[in-house]
Amino acid sequence: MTWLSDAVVGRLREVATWPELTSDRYEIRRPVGRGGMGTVYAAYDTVLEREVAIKVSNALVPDDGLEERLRLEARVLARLEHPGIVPVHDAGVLDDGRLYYVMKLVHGETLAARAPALTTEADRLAVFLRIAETVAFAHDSGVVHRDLQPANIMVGRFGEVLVLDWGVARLVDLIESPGIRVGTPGFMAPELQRGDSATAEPAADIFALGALLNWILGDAAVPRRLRAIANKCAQPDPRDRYSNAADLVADLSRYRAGLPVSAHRDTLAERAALWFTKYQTLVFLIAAYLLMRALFAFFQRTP
Amino acid sequence: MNKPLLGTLLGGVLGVFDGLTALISAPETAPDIVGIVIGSMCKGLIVGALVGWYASRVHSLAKGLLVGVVVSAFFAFLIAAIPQSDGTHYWVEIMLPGMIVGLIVGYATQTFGRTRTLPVR
Amino acid sequence: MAVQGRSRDRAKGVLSLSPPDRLSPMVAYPCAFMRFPVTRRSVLERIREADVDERRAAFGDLATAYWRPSYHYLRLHWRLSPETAEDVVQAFFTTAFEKGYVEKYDPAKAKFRTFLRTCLDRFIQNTRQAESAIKRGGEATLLSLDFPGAEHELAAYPALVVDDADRFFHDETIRALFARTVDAMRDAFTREGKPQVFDVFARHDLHPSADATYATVAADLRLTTGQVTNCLHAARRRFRELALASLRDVVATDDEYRAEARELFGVEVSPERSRGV
Repeated sequence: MTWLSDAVVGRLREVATWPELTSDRYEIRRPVGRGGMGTVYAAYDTVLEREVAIKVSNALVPDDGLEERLRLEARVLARLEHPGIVPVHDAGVLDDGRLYYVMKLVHGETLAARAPALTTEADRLAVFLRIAETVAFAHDSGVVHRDLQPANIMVGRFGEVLVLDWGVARLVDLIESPGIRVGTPGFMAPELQRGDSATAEPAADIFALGALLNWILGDAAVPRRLRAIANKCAQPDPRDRYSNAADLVADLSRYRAGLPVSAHRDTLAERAALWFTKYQTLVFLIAAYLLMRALFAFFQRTP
Repeated sequence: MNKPLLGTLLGGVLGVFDGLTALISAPETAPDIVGIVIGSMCKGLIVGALVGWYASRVHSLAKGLLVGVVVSAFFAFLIAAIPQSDGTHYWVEIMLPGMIVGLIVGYATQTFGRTRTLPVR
Repeated sequence: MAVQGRSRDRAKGVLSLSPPDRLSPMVAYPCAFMRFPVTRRSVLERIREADVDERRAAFGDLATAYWRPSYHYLRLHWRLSPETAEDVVQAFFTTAFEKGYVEKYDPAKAKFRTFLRTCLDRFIQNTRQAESAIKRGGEATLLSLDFPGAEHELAAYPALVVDDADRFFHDETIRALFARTVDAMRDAFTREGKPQVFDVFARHDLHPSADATYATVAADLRLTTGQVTNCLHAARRRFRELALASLRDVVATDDEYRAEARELFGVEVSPERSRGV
């Protein structure tokens, strides 16, 4: 009997499910990731002469669930044209019947890998705002992600932030079978944990964004207003959260500008401190002027 | 409100205020206070207009502050160069506060006020 | 597959191992299984059949799948001599069939291969049982197995220290499964009059050189790159189908089959849906 080395066994495992494309347009190069729904390969588009990624369904037999998920993901990505969402270029069926779609190949690292390099609050909020803006766009387009978590966020080589894995997204105008549980523990809204994912509203993504914000901020001391924003996202009742990601983005933008936020009622002292922080240069100059005038008056009166 | 207008108004108001403080820091100038206030106000209007105009062209806080202090120092010098009735000059009492007012106008015009936008063709 | 065995006196046969022809349904009707992997029950279900011939055939498939990993395991983990390891393998599978070890398997407790390995460990530890089984000699039936070949393979890793017995047994099981599949492929394509399909597969995937590309393989075999592409597609698909079919012989339940397919190839198979095809 033929004896196979470890290297050959490994290679056979890889090539056994190698995509068999019907045309020569795309040259499959190497696998780059595997999830429950599909495997992503780096490939080369010989027509447009560029690198692409091809996601192939893992279903070797007709599996309505998996195939429908992949088809939905491709459609969602095609519908959402946004800098924070990977664009879809093409879709089709392999020779062996598996579904695939072609998308942009992202060079970067997951948020989990990039997080240690985000050392300041400003850096962390900058990345988080990009995520929230992307989700806000999706909500505005009638799409709820339902599985926002650090592993589904990529940060590219030039700092671009991409939200990935829309395979369990819900189109709000599409009726879905009830009882499906989607999401990741720690980032899953209570209504998703109860199995109400089929009717999940954007508020479910808000919960996940709040968990993501807390995760990004880590254990560092966080200003009360910022913590209030995160806490508002994480309310058990969806009606107590931001109704959509656009409101969350607006509040975070106000926080970054030093303005009051809707999630927190500032005390008089906090408002004064805010104003002082924002206009500290002006306050210093006026104080310097008054001090100088006072000194002139004092020395004028001193014999 | 555009930046030149903001600078002009702010410079004028601060000029009036600055002139009035002479009553505290130099009470002997009380008989001449009207002239002092008018002169300080005019100086403030001119300084404010120039600094505001500069802010509408150049968006740089550091440069705006520098221009504010230089322009106000120049005009404050001109004022301080006028001798008092007893022949003395209030160099420090006029130039130093004037320069700080110039800094305030420089900061305000860089931070606030609307920039003139280019027409879209 | 060259089958050799040590010559001993025999009384009567209990088990018989067939050559890889047992995979012939896959070979004869490849198109039927392009989208629907083999309709095949697990080896455990077949062993629990009332029909004696079916039980015997099923156990033969089980022994075919596991004798080589067992032999390597005995040699490298238990450090048995070649002769002792051979005797233990023979005795173990014979005893397992006679005493119905496999029928006692409980899927809730462990994976099937772990259960089988544990049975083998216990068989060795119970030296008295092992010695009496081995010494039965003329009453026992020998499996016709290529022990010299299995011994020769050990030259590839003589200094290996087995840290994780379960992992090692799993890896050897998969290695043997893939090797049988490759042999079955070769025979099938030869029978179909398409030996070049296997040649391309061997050149590109089994024994690739550092600079193996479609173009170099095409040049070596005097084919076009298009032909190389088609041959590789056909060969890889056949490999996958045969390997998944053969995987049935190393698992006991549908859930385990799905889990193994997922771990091995990252694919989802639905044996429930393929039944009755």
